[in-house]
Amino acid sequence: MTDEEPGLLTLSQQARRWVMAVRENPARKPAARNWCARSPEHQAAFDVADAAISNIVDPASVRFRERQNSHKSDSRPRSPWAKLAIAASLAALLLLGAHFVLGQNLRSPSAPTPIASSDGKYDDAPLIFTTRKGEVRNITLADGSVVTLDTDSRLLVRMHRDRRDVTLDHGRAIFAVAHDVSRPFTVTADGGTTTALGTRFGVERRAHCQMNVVLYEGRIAVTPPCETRKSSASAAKSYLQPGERIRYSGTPTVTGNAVTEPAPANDEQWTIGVKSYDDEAVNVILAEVNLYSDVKLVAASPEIAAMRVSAELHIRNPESVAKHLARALGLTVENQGSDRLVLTK
Amino acid sequence: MTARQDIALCERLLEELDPFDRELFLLNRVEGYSFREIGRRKGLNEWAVKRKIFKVLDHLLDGMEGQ
Repeated sequence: MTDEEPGLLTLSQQARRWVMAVRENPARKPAARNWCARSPEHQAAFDVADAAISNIVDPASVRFRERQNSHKSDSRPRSPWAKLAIAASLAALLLLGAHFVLGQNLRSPSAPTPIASSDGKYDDAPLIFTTRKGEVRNITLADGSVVTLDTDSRLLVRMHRDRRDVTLDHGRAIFAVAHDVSRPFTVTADGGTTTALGTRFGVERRAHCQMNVVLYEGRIAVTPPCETRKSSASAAKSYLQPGERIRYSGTPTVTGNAVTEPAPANDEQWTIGVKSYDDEAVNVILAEVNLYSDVKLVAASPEIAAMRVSAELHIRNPESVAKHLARALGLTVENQGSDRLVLTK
Repeated sequence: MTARQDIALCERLLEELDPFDRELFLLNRVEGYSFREIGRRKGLNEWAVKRKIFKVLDHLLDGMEGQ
């Protein structure tokens, strides 16, 4: 990596050196992979460093900003330092790489949409986007596609000349894919793929091998998650119609575990944070609300969990949901400590 | 921390750098020159360039992550 003594460097510092080594010389990639394979902490440190270096001090960010500025009449030459200041400031505003605590102002609805601009220079180095619990963010990719990333999610983006590859490691996202027939746009979750040329669809992966795909517009082909290599060769593609959802229940290698059904009318409403539930079970609502907050909302009994309700709820606000459910169902809300709200009779 | 504070932090971290080290870093990260090319231009060997650039990178990223 370098002639520095690794023992004297923190894990973060070592990770940064590996990221830089791969960027300087892609032939170092296998060595970097070996380093990452040492432990999950190594891999995590590498991912954080990669996001930071891509997004905070990447030449591509500067070029993007320069292109933006080139339309303005003020064309004073900038010093390189000013360029870096712009890149860093831009990145600070955009807060790509949400591992940084800096991300507070992204919660503001007026925060600008982040731009993922890789310039195709580092084709194999993914851009990584993560959201914290409770955070929902819009990301514009280099091809113009827009991703809405739900709470507690992680997305890896690789743009190639002949294809656009996105991996949803965890969580949920909606993709408004920029039309480009020469570059299919594929979202992979646990090996299951959803491929589009230009359309709008959502993918959810909250647990191993459990993938839900919803099509809002256009046409997509979906293959199942967690297929063995042998079976994936013959894995039948499923084609969805707009308004349809396909659910994979998570039993690996068993074909026929997919259910195609009409997508619920409220499926997309998580993007705005207010969701209309129509005769929905309390436990389903609580599971969704609990994705967004460390304050856990629980039902005191199975009987309460099974109650059904129709309501319009601010799903990112557990206190508000608890209050509304209690009122609608004649229950009371009991505070247990600072992070537990119990719906009880 | 507000966006304005973020920008101020970035600028302060950049100000704190040694001017020569900063220049090497900018040549790599902004202008896109490789370590070897920078070494050739500045009369340093590649390893020395690399060490200085990593030092700057750590300064900037440690500073931002620490906030």
